[in-house]
Amino acid sequence: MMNNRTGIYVHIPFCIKKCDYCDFISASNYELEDQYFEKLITEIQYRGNEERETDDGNKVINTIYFGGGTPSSVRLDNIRKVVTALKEKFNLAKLEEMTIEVNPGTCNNDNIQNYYEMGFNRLSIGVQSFDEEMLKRIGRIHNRADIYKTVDIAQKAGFKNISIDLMYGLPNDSLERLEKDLKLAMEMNLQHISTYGLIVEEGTKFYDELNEGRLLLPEEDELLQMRDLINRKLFDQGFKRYEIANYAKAGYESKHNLIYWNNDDYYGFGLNSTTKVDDRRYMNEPDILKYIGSNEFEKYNLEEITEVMKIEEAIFLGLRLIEGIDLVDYFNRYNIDIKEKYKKVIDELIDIKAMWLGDRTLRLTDYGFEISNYCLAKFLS
Amino acid sequence: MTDLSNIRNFCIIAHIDHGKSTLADRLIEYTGAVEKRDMTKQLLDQMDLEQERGITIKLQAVKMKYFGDDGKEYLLNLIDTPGHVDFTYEVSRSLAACEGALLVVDASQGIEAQTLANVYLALENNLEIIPVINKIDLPSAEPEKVKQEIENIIGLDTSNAILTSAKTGEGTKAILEAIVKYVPEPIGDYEAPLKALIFDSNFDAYKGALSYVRIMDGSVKKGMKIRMFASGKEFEVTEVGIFEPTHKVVDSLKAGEVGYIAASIKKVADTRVGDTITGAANPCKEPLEGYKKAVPMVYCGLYPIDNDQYNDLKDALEKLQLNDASLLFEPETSSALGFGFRCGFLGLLHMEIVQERLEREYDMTLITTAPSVVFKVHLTNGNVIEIDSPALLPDTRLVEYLEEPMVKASIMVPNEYVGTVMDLCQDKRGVFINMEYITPKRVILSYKLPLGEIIYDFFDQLKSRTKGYASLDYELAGHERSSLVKLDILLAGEIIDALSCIVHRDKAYYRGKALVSKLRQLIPRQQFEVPIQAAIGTKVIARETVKAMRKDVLEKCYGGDISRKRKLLEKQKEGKKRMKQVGRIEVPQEAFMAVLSLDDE
Repeated sequence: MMNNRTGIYVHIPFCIKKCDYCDFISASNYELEDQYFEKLITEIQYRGNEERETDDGNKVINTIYFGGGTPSSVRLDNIRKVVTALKEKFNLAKLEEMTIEVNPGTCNNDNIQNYYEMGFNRLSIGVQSFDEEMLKRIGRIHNRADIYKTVDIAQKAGFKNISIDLMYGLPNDSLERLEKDLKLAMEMNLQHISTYGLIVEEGTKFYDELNEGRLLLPEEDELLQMRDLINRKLFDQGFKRYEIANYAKAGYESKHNLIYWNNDDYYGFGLNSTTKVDDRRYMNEPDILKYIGSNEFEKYNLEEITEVMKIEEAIFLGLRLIEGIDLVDYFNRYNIDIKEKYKKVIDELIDIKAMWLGDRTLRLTDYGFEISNYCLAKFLS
Repeated sequence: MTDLSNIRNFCIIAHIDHGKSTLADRLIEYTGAVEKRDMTKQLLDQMDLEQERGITIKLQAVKMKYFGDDGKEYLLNLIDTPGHVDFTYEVSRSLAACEGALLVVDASQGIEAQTLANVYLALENNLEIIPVINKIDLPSAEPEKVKQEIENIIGLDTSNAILTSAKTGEGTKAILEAIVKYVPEPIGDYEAPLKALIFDSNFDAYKGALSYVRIMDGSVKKGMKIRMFASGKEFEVTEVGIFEPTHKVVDSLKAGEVGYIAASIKKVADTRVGDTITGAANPCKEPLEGYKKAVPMVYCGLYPIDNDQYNDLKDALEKLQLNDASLLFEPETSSALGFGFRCGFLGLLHMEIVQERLEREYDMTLITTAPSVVFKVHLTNGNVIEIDSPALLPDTRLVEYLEEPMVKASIMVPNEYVGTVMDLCQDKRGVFINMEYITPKRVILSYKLPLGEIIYDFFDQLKSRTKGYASLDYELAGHERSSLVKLDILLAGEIIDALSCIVHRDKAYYRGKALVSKLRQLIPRQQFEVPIQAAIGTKVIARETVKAMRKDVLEKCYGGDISRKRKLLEKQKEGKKRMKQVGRIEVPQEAFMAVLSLDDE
């Protein structure tokens, strides 16, 4: 995989309401929307020009991803302007995948159809659960009917690549609840499912509830059973787990997210987004008022990615994938023989059945995935 | 008779925090011994560690010139003294080199147990004591009350006591005048054969081992042949100098003076503290009365986390020993920790300091095992052996009984805490000796206590239970028979020798339970379940389990998460570096010291 692929991430930080578990930077003041988009578009133009002046010039962009926040909660014309700016400033001739995240509570015929017409060919729907009570408990703004409506509209509009997010390990969660969710998800014609166990982050409503003892979460054993249930139920319906949290029907793996895991390049536009291009990584301003107010395009936490970081990140990202790391590709790209350099670590992990080593593949086992932090830390110098 | 009337040798006795080092700085500043621009705060405490912790560990000396009100020029030698109980031995050394002492007492705190012990030492050495009441600038200062205390406890006349504030500089001149006026001039004879007391030694990479000396009689200069009284070894003097406080070469050192002698001495052991230096050609007849050898009271094992660092650790210990004669070490092997050293220390603070210096100055990552005292083991065959490590305790069938070291402790405390302190001493198996009111509001409690109890959390408990008002001093008071048992800790069924401890039978159950529960918190989850047990002999008295780590995963990892993920993994990795691999189990450093921090509630 010598040819570096490149993606673009666009951040839309607006949400009608913050979910109880969410610690992302988001804004619910839609009065800032127009100003935000104005700045976002200037940024895209600025970075696009900046990029054209580099040695290798205008990179071929393979994927675009509009994430949030809730991109579907802002006005269509704003989304359209961003798409136009991207088309103007970047080489999208070989664009393969263009995703937009939507919340079922903000979807209608109009916006979904327009997304499709603008060129979006993949929809990522923040479902989280089909259970009405659970949706309320975790502070979502939508209900089950909204989900069905959204998927229906999307399919009619022409979307053939639809992904949903599901959560598990939620307050008062049970295997029964999760099984129902999985069953309902399988009844729809979906191509991709992401599944995330709840993490209670500092600064969220759940964090406070946990500290006050009002959040009853499943024990570790049950969480493991939940992941196992997801693996089995989805596999039965032709969804292959291809990353720690992601499942897809054959050929529908998220091309954009694979760019991250393959340690390829990406631009991040908008509030707090991360860019990693040409061995440099930086973040955008995380404060929305400052982002809007400033005429600068400051690069925060700018770091040069050293050779060591590169080879280590390629490992800890690559080992997130079910197929693991292709040792030959890896050698061609980084000139490192993993088997030799990390022999001790690999032997140790194989010994505890967390890792599997084939002729040209190194990957974690299902057990290895569950304790992946432990495994991956061992590869750092 | 030689005229030494312009020389004054003195030291400062003070409790930690009573302002000794600041006061010394004021004196040095006033006399101009150090250019103002070269003044660093707390000039005498030169080690980083000393400045950070605000304590004196290693002796320092400085020479000052002072023009008295009588129009005469005086040479004042200040020899600094450490203030902590662990370093009492060092104090006694500096006292022997002086004729006078400033007794510095905080005007709002009053006299403390440690100060008292040092004052008695000074009185035994016939030193003239000048009371100095410091920190009179504080609103809470009660100098009259403190004077009263000094009179009541020590019986010193405080009518000449000097009120000062080292912070503002008030009273500095009065102190210098008092030194000149009250501290006796040294007695000595230039013409007599050289007789010099080694009160400290220091290793210099270029000049070899330096002897810090007080010249009692005669004089010494470059080129002279000297002899060490104890070893009989002879050396040629390459340099003599004084402390300003950095070393300054002078032509000669004469009777009454304080300075250093360099003589290409390779080993510090050849310039033993307390020994007498004399001239090889014309030796004096009798040596000076030396010091008792410092006896380590606390022993612990020091092991490198990475076994490859064993030789580095050995080198580092040897280097530290060059300047710290009271540090003892010998190789030790632990089945759990591999190769390391058994080290003897003057006390817990001394131990902590050595450990910290090894980590900081020599970049070692170490496991320190829980400290132990020296037990006497009476065997059934009538023999008695001494052990400084629980691992050395012979099979119980061979042991008749054990003796543990005792101390006589003096605790000085405001009277409202007497009950609390008595409870604490009771808890720690103390036997009440005496209670004395030094003022209507302060009391000295005397207890006989097992040293083994003192070295655990006694001092911390004392401080926390009395809001920091109590002070403690203790001296060894022999060994006593006691009902002691060895408490073993098993991880995954294996006895971990480095975690064993010897405890009183009545406390074994509680200690075992507390230790096991503490270890369960400290030992991170492994890839498998780890049972932790406490056992006496074959009887298991407590058990807990560290569950296997089954889930440790970051499920969401996209573009913006990668830096964060990297940091998380790095942190995890860093944590591992401070773990010791014991068999298959990774045990953190703190686990080996867990017994020290068992909550006594």
